Amino acid sequence: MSSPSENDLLEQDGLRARKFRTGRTVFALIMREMSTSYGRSPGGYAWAIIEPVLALTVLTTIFSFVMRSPPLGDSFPLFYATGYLPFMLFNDIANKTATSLNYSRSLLRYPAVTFIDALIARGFLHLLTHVLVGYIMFFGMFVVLNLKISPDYTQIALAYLMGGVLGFGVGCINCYVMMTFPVWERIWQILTRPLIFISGMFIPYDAMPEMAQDILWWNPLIHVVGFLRKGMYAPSYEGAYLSAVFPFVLSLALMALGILLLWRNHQNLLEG
Amino acid sequence: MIVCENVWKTYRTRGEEKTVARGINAVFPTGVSVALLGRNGAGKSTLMNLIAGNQKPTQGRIWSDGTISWPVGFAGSFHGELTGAQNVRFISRVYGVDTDMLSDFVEEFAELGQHYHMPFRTYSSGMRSRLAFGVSMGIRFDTYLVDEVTSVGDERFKVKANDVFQRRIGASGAIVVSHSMGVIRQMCSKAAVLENGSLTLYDNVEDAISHHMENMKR
Repeated sequence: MSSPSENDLLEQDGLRARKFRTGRTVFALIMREMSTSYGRSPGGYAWAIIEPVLALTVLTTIFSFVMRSPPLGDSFPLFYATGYLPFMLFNDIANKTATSLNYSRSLLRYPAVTFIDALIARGFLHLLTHVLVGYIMFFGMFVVLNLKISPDYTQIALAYLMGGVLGFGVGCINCYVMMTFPVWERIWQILTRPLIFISGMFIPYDAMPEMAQDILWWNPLIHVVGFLRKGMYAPSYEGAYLSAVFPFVLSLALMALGILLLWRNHQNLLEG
Repeated sequence: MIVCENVWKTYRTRGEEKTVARGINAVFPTGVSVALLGRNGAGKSTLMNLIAGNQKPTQGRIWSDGTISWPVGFAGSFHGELTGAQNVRFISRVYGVDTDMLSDFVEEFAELGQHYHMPFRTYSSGMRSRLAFGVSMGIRFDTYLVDEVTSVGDERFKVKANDVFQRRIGASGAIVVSHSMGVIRQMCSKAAVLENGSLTLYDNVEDAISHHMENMKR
């Protein structure tokens, strides 16, 4: 028989289940991913931030010896980071969002956890992670390299938001396509490999030949990188070619299409 | 109260179409335990999933004015790297219950001792099911979904678990699938028979059982 104290425990009002709320579930999923993704290594989720910071520091140091004068400004590390970080932001969010339903598959068995919760939690956590990585990298460089810059924080925030939303939109549509045609995951990896070279990372848009400009303007990542540089190199870098409307409209369209397709099909995809 | 309005469900397995619900209309009243009877493959589990919201009906709709549990004892979501306590905390966040209250309840109920604060992957199968059962019982739902009651633990624990279980579904309602007529007689005050995609609700469990037994003979 259960003890009297246990009976009292059973009747507590705080144990009453509440109606489902996305915010609560997203928070729970984020906490869970943070405490499990680096489960056995001491330091836990801090590695998600330390890892890219260390990798980027090593890469930047090596490249600094090869390329002494960057096409923009006079600090190679800053030039490199303003191209690499937004690219990683996009890439990471897109990949993590695309795999979110598989990642949370067992949790989706709880009726309270919806596929939208799973998508949002992963997209948001990795956006947050990259904002922190970016903050540490840029602030670190500012102090260590004694940079003479006066950043325009609005443009920087816009660039991060743009990269995050673009990654999320691409992730949503890819989530559907990859679960429907698993081979797409491989094809996507191959197709996007050159993306790092055509997103203005090493050769800024302004330095490209006109023909390349006409085509690559339609690469939304060009605008993400461009806005971040506009913010970091303010006020000297103007970026007259930049458009905020195009990448945002594209991202929202992909996101809407992806969510619509998942909404109609996610149960079949998860059962099969 | 859970209401099924003209619910149809068709799904395809290995190219074969199967219809397990053909326009089901039913009301599961609040605070009543209803047994769900039917032969193997009649679609009892599918109907449970539809009620839980894990699957959507092909046509029609199901709505409820209260909260509905996941199938009692489901442990598939527990993460091996998280401790029992952390796994419990995750579920309390999702279902909006007080994190510490649920954690304290499960810690005492599941009798895991030190293991409660160790990674779930180190648990024995008995410990796993005690934890899963504890979480299901810890949260106050308006309706519990029970797909085959599995007994957990030793005799003393079984008595305690059964006691808590009876109190929970006594205060709330439940929808129970079981092949044991003994369990059904003990737990339920109403019953429904699912056969060929239609659901017949009986106010008397014995009537439903005899209908079900008729079906089984055919």
